[in-house]
Amino acid sequence: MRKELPILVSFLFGAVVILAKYISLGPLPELIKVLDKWSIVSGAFAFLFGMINLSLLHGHNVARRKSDYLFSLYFIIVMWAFFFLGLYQTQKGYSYKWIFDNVYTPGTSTMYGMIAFYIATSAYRAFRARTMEATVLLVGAAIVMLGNAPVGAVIWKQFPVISDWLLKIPNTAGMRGILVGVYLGALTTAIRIILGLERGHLGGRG
Amino acid sequence: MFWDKMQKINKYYIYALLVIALVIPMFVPLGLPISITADTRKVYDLMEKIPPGSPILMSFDYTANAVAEMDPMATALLKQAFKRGLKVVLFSQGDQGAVLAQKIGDDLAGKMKKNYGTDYVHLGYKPGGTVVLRRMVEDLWDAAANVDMNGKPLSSFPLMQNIKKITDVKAIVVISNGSPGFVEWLNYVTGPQKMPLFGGTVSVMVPGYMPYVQSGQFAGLLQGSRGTAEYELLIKEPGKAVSAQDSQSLSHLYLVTLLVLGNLGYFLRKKPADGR
Repeated sequence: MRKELPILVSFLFGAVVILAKYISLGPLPELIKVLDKWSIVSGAFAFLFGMINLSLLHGHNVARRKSDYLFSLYFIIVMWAFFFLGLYQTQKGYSYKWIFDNVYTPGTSTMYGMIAFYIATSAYRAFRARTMEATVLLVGAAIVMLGNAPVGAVIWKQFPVISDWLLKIPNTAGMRGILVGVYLGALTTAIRIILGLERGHLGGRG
Repeated sequence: MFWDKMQKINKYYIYALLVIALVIPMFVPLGLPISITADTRKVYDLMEKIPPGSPILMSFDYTANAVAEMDPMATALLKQAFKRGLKVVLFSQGDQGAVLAQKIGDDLAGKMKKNYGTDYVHLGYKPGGTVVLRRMVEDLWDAAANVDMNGKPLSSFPLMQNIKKITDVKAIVVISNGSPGFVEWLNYVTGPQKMPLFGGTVSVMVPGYMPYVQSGQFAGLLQGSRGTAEYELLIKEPGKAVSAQDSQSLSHLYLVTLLVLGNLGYFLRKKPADGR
């Protein structure tokens, strides 16, 4: 029953939601409202489950004194401390806001900003015109970079024009193909989940 | 020999030069001209066309790691909305975006003398993902659990009396650095309801969003820091994005120079015996 029940629930609710999209019959519209509320409430609870799951995982590392267990301990303390601080002070609380503005935001921005340094070294060491495809990519990247900064137009007025064309014509054509593929894949996966053919999310093999 | 040495240059020299390229323009501005692109002007015109007093919804769908690029964009868009007398409902599809929206909203409202509850309301972040958006179409109050970000009932705000469902707002303005963001709004709200959707995103997301811009599903898109700089000039409020453009110019020029030098070195160096 550990697998059959979730498959049955997925099928029933998935089928009802899809059916309600096309047929407005009897109690279906009201049922969808109830299901939406259930989904919103369970979404909120999922956060708490996530925190408990992470605590168990890292608590296991601490209990077994696994390598770098101090990081796990630090993570558990910070996560729960910030959670209770948020509950106590709400998001408008002074300490909560101070930590978010002065610790979390600069920290995460720094991590993001460091990508620039990796891009610089890889531009110099790895991005080589070894093949025709790589050369096209390299020239395209250089033009878009120059076209996207004011200095590009100062060097040559056509840089922004060519950059815009690259983004709007060849890039759009390629991205459309990728997007159509992605959405067809998502649709297929959704149908497979509803029909119980896809079981990877239940912990077994798909 | 020279190119062989150049190929093995210490990476810290490359890092140091990048820092110099980024920092120098902050002290010695180059003042390079910033031309206004058609895409940016389109966003500006869309905002200008909304009649004063009309409500719009601004969704702060970005995370704290992107504040350097997104905060100036959100500030510029909200500033224009307030300037034009639009009523703004702030919202976020993510918990971090809600905190960032509160900071920008309250700061600007203080400076521009806008009142909470009549000129703007912050719904905050409501867990539930796309179901919340879908629910907004039927009943916005219900989707927001009938309270704003701070738990105050929506019934206590004059602004919310005429906004009962999402179609009561004139446009959805999204500031996003990924998912959830524009695509969720398009799929669940603006597409089915035929509502205008525009806003801005980080530079790295622009190629992925271009098909939606070209098809008109996104009515307008500010493209990264450059787009924000152009927007700041259009609303005559030059800010952080305008001052960052010289740094962006030098750093982009530096990266292109690295590309050229790296490839020159690769082709002109002494080839190893195995021909690699």
